[in-house]
Amino acid sequence: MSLEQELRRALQRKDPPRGFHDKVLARIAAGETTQARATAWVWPRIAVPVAASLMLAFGGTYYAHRQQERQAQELRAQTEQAAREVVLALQIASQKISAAQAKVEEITRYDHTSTR
Amino acid sequence: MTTRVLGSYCLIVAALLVPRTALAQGARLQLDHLDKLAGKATDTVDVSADTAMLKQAAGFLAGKGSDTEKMKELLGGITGIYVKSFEFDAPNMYAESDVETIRKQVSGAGWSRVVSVREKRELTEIYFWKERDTTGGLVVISAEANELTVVNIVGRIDLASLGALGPMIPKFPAALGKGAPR
Repeated sequence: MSLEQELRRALQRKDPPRGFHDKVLARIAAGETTQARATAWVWPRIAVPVAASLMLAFGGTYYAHRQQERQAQELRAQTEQAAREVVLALQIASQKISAAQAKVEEITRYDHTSTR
Repeated sequence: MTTRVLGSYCLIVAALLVPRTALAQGARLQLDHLDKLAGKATDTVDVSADTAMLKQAAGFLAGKGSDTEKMKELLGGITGIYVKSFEFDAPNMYAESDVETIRKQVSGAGWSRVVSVREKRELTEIYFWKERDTTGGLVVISAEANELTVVNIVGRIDLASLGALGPMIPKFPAALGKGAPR
């Protein structure tokens, strides 16, 4: 038997068995009810974990972001405090050096005046 | 034999390390004995800024105007700033020995006194620590009847630049926010 003949035989039109139409209709009717029931159960099953995962993901990201922000703020505050302390130290040093210079100048001036 | 060799090696390494440590600590004074005065003082400033803190401060001051740039330049050579300042509401609140303990530390080799002014109950002295030919540190002692201030700067310091900063420095604390460390 050639391939063509085999294909023709396999694909030839066949009538459905008796009662097939009624059975299909009955099963569709039955299937629709079960399908509807299954969908009603599937949605909460998917939605709850998805929502929980999303909440966890967003919550985690938000928490990490807040932590980073807090750390950056702490570092900024630390740096500002360091700068403030260093500036204050330089201020005191500069004031004391200027005062010493002024005293030395005053003494030198006094010595010059007294020698004249 | 191996132990002896190892021992000698350790001694050589220690001998090589000691002078470096001594140099590094040379310009740094021990000022802890003054801490007790904080209880008697009406106003206390205690600043202890090490290299890390100075780097942080220099980074913060970067790009905040020409005055801060000059200050940043000055900070470049400094490895530590230590200040202890006490203001009292009455005289004789600190002992002569408190000042002498500091003066003893700067009487050793490496230190040279550049300014010494003594008037009645006031003493102002400036000392420099020299490492080879460069300045490796500075100490300012200012002892007045109602005030005692010791400034110890470790590192390369230019006295003229530090003095020149005087008029511009008071602008900074306001710019940096209130609240000086006490």
